[in-house]
Amino acid sequence: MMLQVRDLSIGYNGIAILDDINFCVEGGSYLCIVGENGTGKSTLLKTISRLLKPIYGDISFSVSRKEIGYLSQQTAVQSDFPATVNEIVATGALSKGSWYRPFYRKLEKELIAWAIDKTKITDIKGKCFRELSGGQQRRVLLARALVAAKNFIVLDEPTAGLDPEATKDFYELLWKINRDERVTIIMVTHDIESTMKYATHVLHLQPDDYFFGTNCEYVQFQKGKIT
Amino acid sequence: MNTLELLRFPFVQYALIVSVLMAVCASLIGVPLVLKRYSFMGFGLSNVAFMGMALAIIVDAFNPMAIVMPFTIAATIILIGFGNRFKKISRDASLAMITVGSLAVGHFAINTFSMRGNITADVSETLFGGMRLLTLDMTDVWQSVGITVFVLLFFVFFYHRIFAVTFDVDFMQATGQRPLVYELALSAITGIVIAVSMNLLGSLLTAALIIFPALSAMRLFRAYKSVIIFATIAAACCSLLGILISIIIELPVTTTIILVNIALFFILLVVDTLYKMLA
Repeated sequence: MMLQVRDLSIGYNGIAILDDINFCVEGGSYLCIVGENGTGKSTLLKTISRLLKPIYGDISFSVSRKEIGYLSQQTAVQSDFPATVNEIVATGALSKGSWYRPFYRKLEKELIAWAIDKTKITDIKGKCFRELSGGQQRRVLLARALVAAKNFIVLDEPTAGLDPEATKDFYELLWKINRDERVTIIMVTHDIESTMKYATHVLHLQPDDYFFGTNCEYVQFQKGKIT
Repeated sequence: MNTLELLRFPFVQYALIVSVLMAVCASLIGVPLVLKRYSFMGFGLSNVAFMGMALAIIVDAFNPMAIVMPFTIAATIILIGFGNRFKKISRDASLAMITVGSLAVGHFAINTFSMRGNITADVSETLFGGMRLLTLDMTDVWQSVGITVFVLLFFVFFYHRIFAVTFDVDFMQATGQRPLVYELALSAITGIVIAVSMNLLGSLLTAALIIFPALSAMRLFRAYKSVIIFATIAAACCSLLGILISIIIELPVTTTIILVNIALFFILLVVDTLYKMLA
């Protein structure tokens, strides 16, 4: 068991927007969190990534908290930041070193090279981040998340703002990494179609309620809603 | 009298050393500030330091820095370190209030309570520097050497973390690091540099040294490391050149240094634009 969520209440400033969430994630799964706007998808992901405190309940990990890679929605600062791909991917390794060490070790450099290779950004690793396309930028941030955590990454709407072609490429890449490297993935997305295509498990948030189950169960659930 | 003869005077040597060293410090802290969209913060905080200096002049403090320093560090930590965590008043508005407010309080306090004769000179000196820079002593030189060594060591040891905390705070938080610690440390050092630099160079030059070298470097370079290295070198060279020009042809020293910085920025802007048009 990679992640277990028990009796969780989430929200901002002590006001809960969703209560009694219970689910667990096995190693190697691919969980998509879907639902309408405002149902708390991002809030849940931020709570899992510990950017927000849970209002009530408990989130337990089988891995160290440091072994979680995080890929956020793009911030304004990042869109014109002067930094190379290599410099950004390398910051993923910071959680592994001691606080005072000014250089990366050989092991960390190998990890950085591995992540750059897996996300297929080798040919652009010397380029400036702000000059890349949206799809390339998302792969760079994915590589950084992989350096931070080889086993477990969480993503908050990673394809927001990408064109359909780049979106498809990104999902393909993510699916390959999940399958070949056994990386556990938790992703917030709007895209029901690709959720059904790639995810092993689905968490569908609704106001005051949620569905959690395997991909097959979710297909049944969706059919039930239509009829 | 030619330049080489001028360089023999201790006051010229002190001015050169101190202004180059403070330029290095200010431009180093300037790169993360500009990238975090805090460019105006340098000027706001210089004004807070001005207010601290005004208070020090009123009480006729033996060591004005003992008053200026805590003031500036506290303001920096509140504005930068916690700035994004409290959203009662927007960052833009709070910065504007602090800039205007501290100037007014400082000027009011000096005019109302100061026992000293030449108030206008005191105010002008603290804001724009000038004579102060040409009347430095060895204590000032050692002070700026000390702070430069400190700032350089901080940037060498925490280089990657300063980069990470500038680029993406949320990622650091989510991967189990402590971005707040680094943000606060960087804010405190920013406050120290601004306080010392305001005392030696005046608040206007301090603010200029924070923004112009960083912005010039960003016209030319696309990697963070190159930006930070070029900004410090550019700042040092501009200060050196500015002081020499101002002494040789008798111009106001601090504003000459700023004009040299502005000139460099526009030259690089043109170079960058031409390069992009041709490429």
